[in-house]
Amino acid sequence: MNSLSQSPTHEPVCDTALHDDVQISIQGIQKRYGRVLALDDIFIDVQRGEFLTLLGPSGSGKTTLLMILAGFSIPSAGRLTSAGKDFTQRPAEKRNFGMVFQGYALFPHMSVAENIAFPLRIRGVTAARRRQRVEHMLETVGLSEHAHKKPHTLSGGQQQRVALARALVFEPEMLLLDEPFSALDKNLRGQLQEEMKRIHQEMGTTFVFVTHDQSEALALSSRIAIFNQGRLAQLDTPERLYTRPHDRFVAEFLGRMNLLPLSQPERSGQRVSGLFEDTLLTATNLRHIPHNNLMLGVRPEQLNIALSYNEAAREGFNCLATTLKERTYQGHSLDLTLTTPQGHILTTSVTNAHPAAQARKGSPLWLYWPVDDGIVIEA
Amino acid sequence: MITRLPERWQYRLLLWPLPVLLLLCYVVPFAGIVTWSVTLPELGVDNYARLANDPSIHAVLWRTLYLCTIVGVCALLLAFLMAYCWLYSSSRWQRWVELCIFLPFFISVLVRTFGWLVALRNNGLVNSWLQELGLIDSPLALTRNTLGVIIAMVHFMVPFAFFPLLSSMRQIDDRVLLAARGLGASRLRVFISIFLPQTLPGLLGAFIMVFVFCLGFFIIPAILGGGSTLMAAEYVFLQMFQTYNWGIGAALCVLMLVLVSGLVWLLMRFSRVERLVG
Repeated sequence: MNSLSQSPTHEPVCDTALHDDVQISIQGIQKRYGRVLALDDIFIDVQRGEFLTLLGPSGSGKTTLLMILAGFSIPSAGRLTSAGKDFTQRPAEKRNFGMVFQGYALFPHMSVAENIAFPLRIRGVTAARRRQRVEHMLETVGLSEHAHKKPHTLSGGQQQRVALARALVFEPEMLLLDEPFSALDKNLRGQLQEEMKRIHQEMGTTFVFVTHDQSEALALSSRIAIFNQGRLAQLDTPERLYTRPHDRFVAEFLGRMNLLPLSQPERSGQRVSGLFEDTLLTATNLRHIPHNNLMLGVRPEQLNIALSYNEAAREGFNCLATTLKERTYQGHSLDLTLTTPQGHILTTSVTNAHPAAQARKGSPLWLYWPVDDGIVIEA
Repeated sequence: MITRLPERWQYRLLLWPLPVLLLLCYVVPFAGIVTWSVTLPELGVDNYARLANDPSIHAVLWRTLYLCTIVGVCALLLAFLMAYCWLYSSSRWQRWVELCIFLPFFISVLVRTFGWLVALRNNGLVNSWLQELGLIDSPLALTRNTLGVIIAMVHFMVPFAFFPLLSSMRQIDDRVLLAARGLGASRLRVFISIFLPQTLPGLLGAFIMVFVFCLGFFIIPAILGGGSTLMAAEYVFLQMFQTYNWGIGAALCVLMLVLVSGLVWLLMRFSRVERLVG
């Protein structure tokens, strides 16, 4: 857990290690391209066996970091260590990491089996052992009957599996994946994600995965590092990132979030209370935020709706008066857009059976939610 | 009138000049050559029998094939290096390489051949420089022999090998090369196991193109060979215009055409032509 004590503002990272077995330590990595700072002072301890996702919008530096880890790019500052040894300058071919590229990068002149055997061949593995390993990998990814085909005759999903098998066959210390699903359609993606999860559990290899797809990251990762403009915004488990984002960027990047600015905030223990418009709202705060520019964040699905004040005003709950502005039918549910008296917009959704589903535009609705669900976010 | 034709016919009209031109300027004269080969000096296949039996003709043919092979290999090596250099250099360097490739294109073969004669003869530039540098005592024999012919022909053929090779190199995905390194292959290993095999269709295509082109070379061997390097084309010329053996010359032409057709068939069969020019 995070302490309330100091954490320097330029390092908004809470490293909640699941188990403390650091495989690779990323220490103050920086990458400059001319005057552009692509990566700024990144610290991450990669745990052995974890599924770490580097998540961020395009241009946030996540791929740059992966390329530095792979050894295809040399950082401008900082270092990479493994078991206390600095390997920042070690060339890619000496790192013994597997890598799956965007677009798979299979060798077009080799068959599927030859592709998978390539890393073994380089390591001087005997032909018999090679055949055995390749067969095992082909089985693992379910491509045994395609062993002798050329990559271009396979579907995208199959090529993806070959790339995965090739990157894992030599039992690398770590597997690096650069947006491996980006070229696949949605159904296939879900299927391959499941497979990826299974393979990760079976092999126990450390996976470092780059993606810009939030739901992919949430579904697969044991931890997610969120990048924004070359900085590491937050590193945490998917649950904690979703429920306890540190800043507005993380909160809004991982789904919708209602943000309510709090004025005259007062701190007491792990609670912060402040005025939103004329209502006193309270939220949880587990971190030290050195300034008073705070917002209350609450996810749409955490909001409850009542038709009357009496129903909404409960002990341990925040309560907010709104009017219904817009309703959008979504089939299984109804999206509601609400405005506060001073015109601040909130969104939530209700089931079709909920009494508020029948409310007309302009009718008053009361929002209420447990004090512990709302969180304090740096504005 | 044309606008009333269906659209595909309009396009076909545009395509007509090419087959017509080929028919008039190529097929008809060639039919004449074939006729000569079986009618001059008298009706029969005597000329082909001579092709099969005459040792002096065999010598010319073997010399031609041998020279074409050597020129093909040398031009391919140089062009490969240049294309590789182009691929991995800054855009400024790329412009320089392109200039070196294109400049000779604008100069006629005749001028270039005489240029080589000036440069390579006994008291020419190359020999005098080498002597001044003290590397050799007496001039090297660089003209009036096979070596001179090879030098000039390679120089002529390098651009023709460069473009197909470059085209096949540019089709190689950089990420595939990175992937190989990521899997543990050294740079040399990546080149040998991943890069080179993917340029094989380009290499084969370029070699056949250069080879076929070389088969018909006339000016360079005639001028730089000084009569000592008699190749097929010059032999045909001698037979037809000096000894007036029209029949045997024509038969040799037909044989060369069969050979070239076979090679072109190989080219089409084993490397996709559209990828070489793309």
